[in-house]
Amino acid sequence: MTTVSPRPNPDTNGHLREVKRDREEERLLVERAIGRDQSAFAELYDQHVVRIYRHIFYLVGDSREAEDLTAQTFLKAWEAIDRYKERGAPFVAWLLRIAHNLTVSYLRSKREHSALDEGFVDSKRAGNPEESLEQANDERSVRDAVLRLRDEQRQVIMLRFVEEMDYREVAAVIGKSVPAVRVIQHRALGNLRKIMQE
Amino acid sequence: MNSEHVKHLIAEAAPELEVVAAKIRPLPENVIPSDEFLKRTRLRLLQLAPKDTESRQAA
Repeated sequence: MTTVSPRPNPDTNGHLREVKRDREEERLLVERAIGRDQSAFAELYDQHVVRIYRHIFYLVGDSREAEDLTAQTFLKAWEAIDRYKERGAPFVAWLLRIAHNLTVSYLRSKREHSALDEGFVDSKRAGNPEESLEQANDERSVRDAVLRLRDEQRQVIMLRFVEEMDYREVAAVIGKSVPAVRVIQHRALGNLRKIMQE
Repeated sequence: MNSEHVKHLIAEAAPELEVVAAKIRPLPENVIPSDEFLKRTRLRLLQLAPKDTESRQAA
């Protein structure tokens, strides 16, 4: 149908069996966490904290802010975990939604007080001598363009191209059908194109 | 919206959109939180959990 895809999906039987086993293990961990088992929640934290941090970092571009928001994401998840409902997406999808909403609220309130953070290029990245200025500028302009998208479009773009989820996973995260996600992605890419041409 | 319409929408501007999609890259692998943060936050979660449970029970 379309060739706009982050990377091909591995679909060997072995891989599928492994995914199924991992999902079952995760389901049991989540059940224990819902029952207020701290060690189970800590295991979920261990499994997903880096991914959550990286998602937030993409949006805020600052390591300290990303760490604060990551901690808030897990505190909020612990408070809300008894309301968690499995909807065909992995548990991390639920965490990503919390992280995304928290971060977008944070950026909105920050924007009310000042212009967008100029320091997107974090010290970890700026310190890399192989990264050209042009590439850094390009990354920054893309990130700024992504931030200017409407909420739903931004979320689809982040999940598809930054998180590298497939359409089915994104559909489960945002509660829409796969065709609807394709349309949102199409419109989002079109809008990004326009924004980047401005 | 039917699937044919979706296919049409996506096919219509796919080459231009592919160029845009290619610019959205995942972060470099070295963008990770500090060990100190990871340990501190894990400890914080483990310490907050019993209090949170107690406060829920009290409520």
